[in-house]
Amino acid sequence: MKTNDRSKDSITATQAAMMTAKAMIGTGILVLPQSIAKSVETPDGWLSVLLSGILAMLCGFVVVKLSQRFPGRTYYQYSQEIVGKWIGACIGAGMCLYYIFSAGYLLRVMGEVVRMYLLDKTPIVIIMLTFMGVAIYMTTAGINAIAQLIELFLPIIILIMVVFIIFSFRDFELDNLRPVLGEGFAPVLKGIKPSILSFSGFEVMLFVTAFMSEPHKAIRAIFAGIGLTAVLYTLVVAVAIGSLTVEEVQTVTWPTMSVAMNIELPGGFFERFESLFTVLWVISMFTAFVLYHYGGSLGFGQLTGKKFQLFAYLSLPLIFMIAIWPSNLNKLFKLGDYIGYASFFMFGIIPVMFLILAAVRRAQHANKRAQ
Amino acid sequence: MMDDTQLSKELHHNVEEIRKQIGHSPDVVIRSFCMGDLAFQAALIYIDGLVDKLMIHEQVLKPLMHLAKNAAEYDRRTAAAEAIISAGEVKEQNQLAVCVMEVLSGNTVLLIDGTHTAIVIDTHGWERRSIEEPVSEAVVRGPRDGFTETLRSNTAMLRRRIKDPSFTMEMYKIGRRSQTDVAVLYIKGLTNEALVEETRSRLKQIDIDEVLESGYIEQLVEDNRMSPFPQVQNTERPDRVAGALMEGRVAILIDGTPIVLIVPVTFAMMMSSPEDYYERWLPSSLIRLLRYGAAFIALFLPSLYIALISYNHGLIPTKLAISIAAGREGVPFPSIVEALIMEITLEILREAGLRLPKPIGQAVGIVGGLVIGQAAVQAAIVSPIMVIVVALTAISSFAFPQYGAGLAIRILRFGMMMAAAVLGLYGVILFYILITVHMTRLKSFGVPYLSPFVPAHPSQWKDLFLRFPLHMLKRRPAMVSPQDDKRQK
Repeated sequence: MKTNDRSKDSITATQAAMMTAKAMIGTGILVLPQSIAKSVETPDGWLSVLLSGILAMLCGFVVVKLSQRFPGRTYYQYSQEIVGKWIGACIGAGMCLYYIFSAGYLLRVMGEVVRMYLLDKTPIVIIMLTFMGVAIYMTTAGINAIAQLIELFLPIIILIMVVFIIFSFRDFELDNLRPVLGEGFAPVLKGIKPSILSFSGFEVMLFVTAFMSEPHKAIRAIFAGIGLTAVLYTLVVAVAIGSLTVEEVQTVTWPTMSVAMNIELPGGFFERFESLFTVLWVISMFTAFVLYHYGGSLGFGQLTGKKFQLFAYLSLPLIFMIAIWPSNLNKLFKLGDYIGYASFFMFGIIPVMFLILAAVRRAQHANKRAQ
Repeated sequence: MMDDTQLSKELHHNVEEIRKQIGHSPDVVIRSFCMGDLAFQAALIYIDGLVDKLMIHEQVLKPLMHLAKNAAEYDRRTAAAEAIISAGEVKEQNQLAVCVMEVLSGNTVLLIDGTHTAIVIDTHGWERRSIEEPVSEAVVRGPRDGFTETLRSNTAMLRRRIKDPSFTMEMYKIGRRSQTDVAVLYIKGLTNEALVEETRSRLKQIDIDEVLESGYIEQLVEDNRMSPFPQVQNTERPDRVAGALMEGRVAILIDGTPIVLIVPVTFAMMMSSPEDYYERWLPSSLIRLLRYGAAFIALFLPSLYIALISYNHGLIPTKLAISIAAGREGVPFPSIVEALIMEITLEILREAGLRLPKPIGQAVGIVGGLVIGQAAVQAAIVSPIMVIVVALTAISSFAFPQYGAGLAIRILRFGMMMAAAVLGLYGVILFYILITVHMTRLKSFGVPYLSPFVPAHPSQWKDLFLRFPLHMLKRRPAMVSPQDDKRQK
């Protein structure tokens, strides 16, 4: 059928924007307030988040511009054209590994949070294995089904966040956020590093753009996705600091959860909002995990010329091993930091170089043709 | 396949051949006679019970025996016969196997000595049930007629509703032995051609001995056989079929069953009743919302109970938790066993009530429900809260306008309960994600099962959770890509 034939992969601009946002909103909401509070040490952390959002948009702009030069092809395919077969393949493989590590990290964070707030006696391994079992069913369905799932779930996730933010205003005290810029602009800059790390995820556009039915709307999509995430992050950081104070946010492991603990829903039907929040947040973790898992498997598939489903299965043990690797929470967060650094290098710096290289190459081609 | 042996000129030879193929069953009637004073030997062959005997006598046999006088004017003997027979539908045929098939499907075959050609007279006339109110899909407001087992009267019911010349009907015979009549209905110029073609090709791929009910066809054309969800809609309401045809869908009618199939189907269709469009928009919208709420309860309530009782009782408000604990005092089983006992009892009651004759069935339902529930609580096998949970779940699962969708939810409820028993609330949410993932993967005749939720067609959400006023529903559903999508100006 004309419009119903979805055997050909094609996703809309709205879906692309939602996927961008969903790839970023995952673990960040849970850990960002603490890492910000630790490095900023003043209540101005939310400003750092806003600034980082703008920086992320710049990176996103580069990423999309690069992808638009190679319509219908993913980063894994065109990187070989820009820097040659071997270096390109290495960079592609690096990006796959990045996704595998991200998925492993996310899996472990999810497991830890569920164990902490929902199932204190169940082994974390069981929690993670069942999660992966459901995820593989989604990943192997391909990008269209994933896009639909995210289209369905993102509104729910935003709704949860809105409820969370609205109800935590009871404990919110504006004084905790004051003074604004009390110690000048320097602390805000210190907060940019940890917050830019939690914006990693927008780089899914490196392969999503290739599947878009209207790739010229990719810029708008990535800006919408990053903008939404930036607003949510800023609000969450502000709410966490506003209701817990900077000092407390620095000391608790899961500050967002601590805020949720204080929430009482009207009518008193549900106590322990944090458990409810965790349950619903599993949806968010799931969609992000599936995106990473798909990104990694797709990359391996395109690099080797085989079906990505094969690598979706093969990468599961690897993801699981990465997830159980850190022996405690501190090591887990260290791993998260390293993944963030890697993403900064891979998606902040390399795309800029690629874009310049590609432009130079094209200019050379044009020259040759002119001669 | 059929052999294409031609009829011979010899009458007795033809009769013998047909006898050989049909056999000597007592219901096969072969009436030999002489055509008037022409002295042609002739024979009528039909099956007793499938034909209208009065019609054969009055319109075929009588004229042939008494009026065949000036037949010599005709150059062919069959032409003479055709001129004499006053029955409405008559055609010539000269293949033996086809003649046999015509006899088997209720027509009468006239063989005349000295010609290669037989005359097939349409004399269908078997006992049929009269049109009654549909049993499985009752409405308060709306037409009361339901389909019957006869294909022709079913198509007539639809014709009466759609007097559109482009209303098209394609006939197929499916079932190597049963040779069941199957009709594919659509509206030319409105329904997407690709959808019709897809339906045709899926029907043609069927190779099976017999088709006893539309369920055979349904199971053989569906996209995913492992899915708990029905991927073809079935209904016994002509108004529902007419509505679906007008939306640009395709209907499949099967002879011998009052259940008609509609493709493609989406989850949202399962949650709507024709009555939604007959009542005014405000009550209809609220009732639809209520149905989605009932679906939620039917799917989640027992598993939420299990998860909250055995893992996450902290989530229940303290006062309620105390009263639940008091109710559970003395109950020796964990909540999953308690829930399974009650749920399975209820399923048995439901099945038993369905199979028994109506008056007894109702008694079983009431006796079972009241007595077992009350006795089980007093014997401290289950807690009173559990009885409430099970009762609410059961009532909610009756609120589906489609039996098939209710079945899917019933199956999934047990899966959900198991997940809740093993992993608590985490299990519930994971199972919910699993169902959603499955539904995003699922398609019915190429149309995503969850449309128009996703892929999102916000313009189509006017007829989803809410049913907007009719004058705002100007377009047909985009998911079936109708050729003509304007419903009203």
